Amino acid sequence: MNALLPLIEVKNLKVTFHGRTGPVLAVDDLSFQVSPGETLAIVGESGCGKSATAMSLLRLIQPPIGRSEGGSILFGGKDLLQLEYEEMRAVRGREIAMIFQEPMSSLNPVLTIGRQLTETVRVHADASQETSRLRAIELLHLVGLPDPESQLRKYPYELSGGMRQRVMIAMALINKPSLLIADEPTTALDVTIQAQVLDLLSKLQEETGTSILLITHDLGVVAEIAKRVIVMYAGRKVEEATTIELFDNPQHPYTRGLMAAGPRLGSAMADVKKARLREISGTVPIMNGELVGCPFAERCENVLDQCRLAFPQDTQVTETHCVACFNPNGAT
Amino acid sequence: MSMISRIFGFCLRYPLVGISTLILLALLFVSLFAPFLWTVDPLQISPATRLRPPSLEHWFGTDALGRDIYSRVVYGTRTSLFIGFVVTLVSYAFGIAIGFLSAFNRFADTVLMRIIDGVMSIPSVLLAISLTALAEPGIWIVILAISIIEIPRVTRLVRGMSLALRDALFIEAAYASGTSTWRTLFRHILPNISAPMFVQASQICAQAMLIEATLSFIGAGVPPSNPTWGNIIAEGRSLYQIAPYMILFAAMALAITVLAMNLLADGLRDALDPKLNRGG
Amino acid sequence: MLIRTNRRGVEAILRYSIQRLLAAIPVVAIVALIIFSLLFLAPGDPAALLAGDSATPEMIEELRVRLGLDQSYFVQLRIWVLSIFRGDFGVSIFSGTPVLELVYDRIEATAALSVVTTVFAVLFGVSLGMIAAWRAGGFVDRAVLVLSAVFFSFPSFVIAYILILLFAMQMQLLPVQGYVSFQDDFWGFWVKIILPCITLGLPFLALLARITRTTVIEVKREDFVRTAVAKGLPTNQILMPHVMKNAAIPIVTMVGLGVSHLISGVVVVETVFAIPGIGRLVVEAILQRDYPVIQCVTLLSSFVYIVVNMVVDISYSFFDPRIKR
Repeated sequence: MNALLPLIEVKNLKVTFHGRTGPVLAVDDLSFQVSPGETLAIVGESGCGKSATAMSLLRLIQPPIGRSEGGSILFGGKDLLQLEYEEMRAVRGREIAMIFQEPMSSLNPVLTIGRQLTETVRVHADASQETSRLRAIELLHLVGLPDPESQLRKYPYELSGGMRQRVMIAMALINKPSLLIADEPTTALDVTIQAQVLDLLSKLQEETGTSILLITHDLGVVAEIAKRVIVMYAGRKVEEATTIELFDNPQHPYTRGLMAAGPRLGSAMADVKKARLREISGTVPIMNGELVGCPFAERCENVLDQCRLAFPQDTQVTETHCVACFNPNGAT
Repeated sequence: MSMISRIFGFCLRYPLVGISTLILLALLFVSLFAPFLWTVDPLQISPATRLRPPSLEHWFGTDALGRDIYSRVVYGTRTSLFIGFVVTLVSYAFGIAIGFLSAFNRFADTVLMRIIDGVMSIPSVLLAISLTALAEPGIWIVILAISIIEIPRVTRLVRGMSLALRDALFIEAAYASGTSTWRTLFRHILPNISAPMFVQASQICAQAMLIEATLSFIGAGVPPSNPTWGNIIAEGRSLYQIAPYMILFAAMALAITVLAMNLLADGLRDALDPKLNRGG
Repeated sequence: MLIRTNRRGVEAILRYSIQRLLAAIPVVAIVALIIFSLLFLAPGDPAALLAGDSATPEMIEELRVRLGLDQSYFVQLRIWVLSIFRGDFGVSIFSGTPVLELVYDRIEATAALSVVTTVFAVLFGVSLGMIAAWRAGGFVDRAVLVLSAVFFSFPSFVIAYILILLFAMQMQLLPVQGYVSFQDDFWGFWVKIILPCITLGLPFLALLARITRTTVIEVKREDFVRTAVAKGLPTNQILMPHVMKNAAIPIVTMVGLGVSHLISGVVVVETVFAIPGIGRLVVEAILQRDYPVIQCVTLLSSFVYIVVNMVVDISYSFFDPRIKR
C-alpha cells in the first residue's frame, strides 16, 4: 500500500447515544487519519468519546443504543458508514480487528479458546478445521503463550488476566488485519503485565506492519507506544500532535492539565494543578446539544469571553501539531 | 382528596396496574352485589327451559337443567374470588412464619427446606387431588389443598429475602440497639420485603383461582351443587358441541380474572421496584 | 460444534453426575414420605369416605384393614415402603387390579403426548424468545409479551375448547377428540395429537418464550457478544453457540420446572380430548374414590419430575465448564 495514502480516514464523525433524557452527543465533528504501519493514540478521560470513536469504526454502536450520524469513515476506498451489513461483516475481524478493555468478559466464558480462535479464521476464509487450528497455535505462539496446543482446550477461566489479553490479541491478529483497534488494552491488568502487553503490541506491529489505533486514558501508555496522539475532550478533538511534540510542547490547557495529573511530571507545580483540575465540580459537561462554545471553558484557567460563544477552529502550531483553543498561552 | 389524586396519578403512570385494578374492583362489586345484578336463583332448576341459547330473558342461556347461566356465572365470581383471597391469606400467614423461622434458625432451616423441596417436587394438581380425594368435598378442603401448594413458594421468597436482609447494615444496627428478634422481623424486615410480596401475592391469587377451576373441572373440587366457574365449565363439558355457550361465559370470566391478576403482578413489579424488573 | 473434551473433563462430568444422583435420593424419600402422610393429614375417616355412601360398617372395616389403616403410622409406613421396594404400588379399590398394571396400560398415550408437547414447546418457545430478544421492542417482542401473559393466564381447558371450536368444529380440519397409537396408525396419531399438544404446550411455550427473552436480552449486553460481532461472525453464529450456550442454564431450568405444569396439564387435556392416558386414569379414580390409584400416580409423576430435574442439573455441566468440579 502507498505509504502516503492514509489507511483509514475519519471525516467529521458524529456519534450520538440515546440517553434517558434524549440524545447525547458522544463524538462531535471528529476528523483524523491513520497511516499504514503507524500507531495513533486517542487520549482523554472516560466519557470523552474515545471509546465511542473506536466502536463506530467497526460500526458496533447500533440503534437503539446510539448511532453514527454524520461524516464518513473512508477505508480502502469505501465509506464504512455506508456499507451494507454483510459488507461490513467482511471488514470486521478481517481488515479491522479490535481488542477490548476487559479480557475476562470479552472472551466467551463457556467456549474453549480453540473454538474462539478457529471460528475467527473460518468465518472469513474457507479454511479447514486443521488449517485454522494450526493458525491458532501459530498465533498463540506468537503472543508468547506457553504450550499453545494445550491452551486450545482451555476455557477462559483457566487463564490469568494477562494470558487472556494475549489470547485476545492473538484472536485480533489471526486474520492479519491492516488496522488493529486497541481499546484500553492494559487498563484491567497489573502494572507488570501492562508493560509486557505493550511490549508485545509494539513487537507484533514491527513484525506484521499493522496500524494500531490505541484508545487510552493513560499518557504513560501513549509515551511508550504511540507515534502520534489525539487529545479528546467531551467528544471534541482539542489537540493533535506527534507524541514528542505533545510531551515537549503541550498547547491546550486541558492537555497540560492531563500531563500534570500524570505521574510522569512529579513536580510540586503539577500537584497543585492536578488538585485544581479535580476540584472543579461537574467535570465533563453532558453534551445534549445545548452547549455552545468550548466544552472545557468551565474548567479552563485561560478562559476568554469568546470561549463560551463558539468552539475554536483548529490552529496549526507546526505541520504535525494543531490545537483547538482561542487562548492556549494564557493571555488575558 | 390528595390521596385519591395520588392513586389516580399512579394508575395513569402505570396503566397496567390501573386497568387490572379496575377489572378486579368490578369483579369484587359483582361478587358482593350478585343478588342485585338482575340475577335469579342460580340453583333453580326449570326443566321447561333447558339448553336455551343466549336471549334477552337468559342473557348467557340456560344449562341442561334449565338453570340460568348468567346468574350462575355471577354467583361463581363469589366462590372464585373468595378462594383466591383466602388461599393468598393462608399461604402468606404460614409462608411468612415458616420463612422467618428458617431464615433465623439453622436447624429449623435444614428440616423445613427439605420438606419444602419435597412439596414442590409433587406436581401441584396431583397433590391437590390426593388431598381432596381423602375428604368430603367442600370449599375448605379445596382451600387447604391449594394453600399447601402455595405455601412453599411464599416461604422460599420470604426466606431468601430475609437472609439477604439479615446481614444488611440496618438490621445489624437494630440488633445492636437491643431490639428483640420479633421486633426486628416485623418492623425492619417485613416492610423491606413487602414490594416483592405484593407482586407474588397477586400471582398466587391468580394461580389459586386457576387451580380451583381445574380441580372443579375434573371433579375434585368444590361440590357440583355450588356454582363455580370450574363447575359450570365441567357441566358443559359433555354438551359443548351443541351448546358451547355453556362453557364460553364462565371460561371468559375465569380467563379475564386470572389475566387481570397476573397483569396486576406484572404492573406492580414495574411500579414498586424497578430493580426487580431486570431479573425477570 | 467443536468440543474436545479431555479425559479429565469426562471424569469431572461423571463425578458431577453421580453427585447429582446422590443428591436426588433424599428428595425422593421425602416426597414419598409426604405423599404417604397425606392419608393421615386428611380430616375425617378416610376408610369410610373411600368405601362410599352405600357401604356397610363391615365393608368399611374390611377396607380399613386392606389399606392398613388399622395399624399405627410407623407400622404402615414400614409396610408401604417395603412393598414399594418390591414393586407393589397398591391395588385398585375399584377393579382389584394392581395399580402398576393400570398405569402400565395407560403410559403410552401420556408419554407420547408429553414428549411431543415438550418438543413443540421447547422448539417454538425458545425460538420465539430468541427472536423477541434479538429485536427487543419490535413486533415479535411485543406479541410474545402479550401472548405469554394471555396463555399463562388461560386455564388449559379454556384453551382446549377455543381450539376445538376453531379447528375442529368451525373449520373441521382436525378431529374433536380421541387417540390412536402411532404403532397402529401413524398419520392418525399425528392428526389426533395436534390439538392436545397445542393445548398442553401453549402455557409451557409462553413460559419458555418469556424466560428465553429475558435471558437472551441479558446475555446480549455481555462484552463477549460485542467481541463476536467485532470478529465478523454472522448473526446465526453469534446466537448459536455464543449467546445461547450462555443463556442455556436458565432456559433448561425452566424446562425442568415446566414439567410440573405439564403433568398437571396432562390430567385436564386427557379429559377434554378423551385420551386414554394416566391423566384420565386419575380423573376416573377421583370419581370412583380409588385412592391407591391417585397415590401411585402422584408418587410416580413426582419421581419423573425429580429425575427430569436431575437431568437438567447434570446438563448444566455441559453448558458451563465452570460447573463441573
